[in-house]
Amino acid sequence: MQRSSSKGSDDEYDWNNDPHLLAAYGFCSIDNDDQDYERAYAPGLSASASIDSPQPAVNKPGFIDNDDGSNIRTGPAELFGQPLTAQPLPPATRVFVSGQHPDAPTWWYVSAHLPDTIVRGYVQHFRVNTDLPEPSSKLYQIKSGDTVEALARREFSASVRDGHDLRYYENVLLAVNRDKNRAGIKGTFQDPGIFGGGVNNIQLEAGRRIWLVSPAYARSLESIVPDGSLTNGGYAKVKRVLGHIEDLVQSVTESPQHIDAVAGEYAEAIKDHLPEIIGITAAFILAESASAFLAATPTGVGQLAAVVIQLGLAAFGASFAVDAGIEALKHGDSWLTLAWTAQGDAEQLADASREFLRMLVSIAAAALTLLGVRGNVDKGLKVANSIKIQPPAVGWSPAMVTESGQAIAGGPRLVPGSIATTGPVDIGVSAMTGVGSGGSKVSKGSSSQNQEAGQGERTVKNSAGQTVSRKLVRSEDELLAAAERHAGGSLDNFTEYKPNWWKSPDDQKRIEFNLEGHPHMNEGPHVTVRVFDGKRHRVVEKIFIEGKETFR
Amino acid sequence: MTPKDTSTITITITDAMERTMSLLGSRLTAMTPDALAAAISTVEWAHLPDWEELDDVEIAKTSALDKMGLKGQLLIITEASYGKGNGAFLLDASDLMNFINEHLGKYRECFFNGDVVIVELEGKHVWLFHHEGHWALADVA
Repeated sequence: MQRSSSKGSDDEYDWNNDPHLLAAYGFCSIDNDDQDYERAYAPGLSASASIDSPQPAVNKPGFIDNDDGSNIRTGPAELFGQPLTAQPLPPATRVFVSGQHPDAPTWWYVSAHLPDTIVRGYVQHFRVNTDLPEPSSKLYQIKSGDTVEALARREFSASVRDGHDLRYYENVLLAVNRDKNRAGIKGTFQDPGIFGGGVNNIQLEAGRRIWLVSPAYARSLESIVPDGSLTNGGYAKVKRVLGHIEDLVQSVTESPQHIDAVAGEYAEAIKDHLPEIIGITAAFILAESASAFLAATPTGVGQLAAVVIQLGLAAFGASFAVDAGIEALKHGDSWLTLAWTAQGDAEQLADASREFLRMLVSIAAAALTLLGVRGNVDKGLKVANSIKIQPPAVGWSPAMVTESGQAIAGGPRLVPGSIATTGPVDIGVSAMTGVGSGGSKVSKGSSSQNQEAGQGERTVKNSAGQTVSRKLVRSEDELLAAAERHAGGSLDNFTEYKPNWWKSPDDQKRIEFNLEGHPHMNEGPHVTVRVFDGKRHRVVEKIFIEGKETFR
Repeated sequence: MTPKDTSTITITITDAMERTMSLLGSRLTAMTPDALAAAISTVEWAHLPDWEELDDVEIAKTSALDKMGLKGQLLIITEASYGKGNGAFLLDASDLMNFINEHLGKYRECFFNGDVVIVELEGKHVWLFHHEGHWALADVA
């Protein structure tokens, strides 16, 4: 059933209808469907804001299906949730719904997949349509001048073959959208057997949205379109065509069932964040499901595993935790292979889910270690508000001749992607070097920039006799550089609220930059970074000068 | 004014430091456990392991703060004292545990969220909690 698209609907308790309230609370108006969303969209407006923890629920892919788009917030508007983006998510934004707000179930927790970013937060449920024709389909906002022929050419030209020219795919679009009661496409089926003849029987209506299905799904409808009925078991007949993708997503969404058995001491840390991780992972898989590297499975499986692991590490703020790689990759490969070959087998999918969780355990352990947080601290991990992704892609290397005259044939080539985060994750100093976004920013013109290159790490006994991991730098200058890096480039960005102590403007982070040390605790000069967990500012990193760890 | 109302009285950190310096008879550079310990000749510290895993009342009881016998008006500085519009808190010793219990709800952060300084203005005791998880009671008489 198509969702309501009327403007001026019951939007967020009338916040948007009261410009004074909006201005007072800094909310964005949602009444902006004339704007260029791609240009206006600015992720990370409230990057440091804390997003309410969701309750697991729904676990379905969906799209923003409302003319006004949808604000994405840290929590429900009526509970003072703040917008996470400068402009609402545009209509037809892909999301994955993996939870709901514990105090307001009509606010759905989603991971929204924008062109190069995954943003997570809450949207009103009625703005999301989860009734997709098939998991890989996407919602398309029809623009003025669009024609069904152009759309079919863009989406399906690689699939055109004898007997099935573009008009077949135009018919698919009509059939699929008629089945879902979409008003954006009208007309009658064209006869794909009469090449080049006849008038255009199918029309689009600008401003509305229609479903675009994947080429694989479209091809699978050959026996049904144009004469068959999708509603009379048509979908069931072709369902398994996309079974790989469905099984992959299912192996992720069913993972909570196995967490207590698999995750051990990391169960709490992972359980707390599972809706977020499920959302991020599923949103990524579905968004990339049509890409070459995934379509090329099973060879693409290893590449996908590597990317998902990087996603998880980035989400937990540990992009450079390479030590997690081997163990996580082993489980990641196993997860994807099991899911990819499950063919709907429940037992194998359960095994795949458990491997997915084991991969998360490896990721969480690496992230926690990197952040200097004990493994069983459930709130030790924070998940990034948004993750910037340049997905890997399969390209084609041109043929070339080497200097020695040897000819090298062209061939497929994996173009590595990149992943960075924004949001409340606190990133280890060395971990974020060179990344330049997320919890720590790259120093701007600091004379001591990059002086932490020689930073090491040592396991020591702290003042309480506990064995802890400490980062070490070589000098006071490097210690200052570490403090400044954690302060986003300069301690001037923070406020010194008492001697040796600085706090961020939102008071989410406090830094102790202490060149004297604590005589009574026998600690030498150090930097301590603390991040607020809702109750306390917990230590996430402590850095000493090598050879001066104790007080002198 | 009822004893409960005293929990909301605040004075500036500067005023609190002046009153404490007057009590100690020596200069202070800050109202922190480090600075106070430096100004007081003998301070014996005890350690509270894993204090960040405990709630405020548990920390107070584990460190026997509720049994220290502090009396009269107390001057208290928590990390929240440095927040906008706050300051050093003045309250009667009989309200101390209530204040600790209510601190998170009132100031959106734990009472024990780093350093805590409690100065007994009449009895001349100072109770310190250091952000590294150590606490001490010092006699400044």
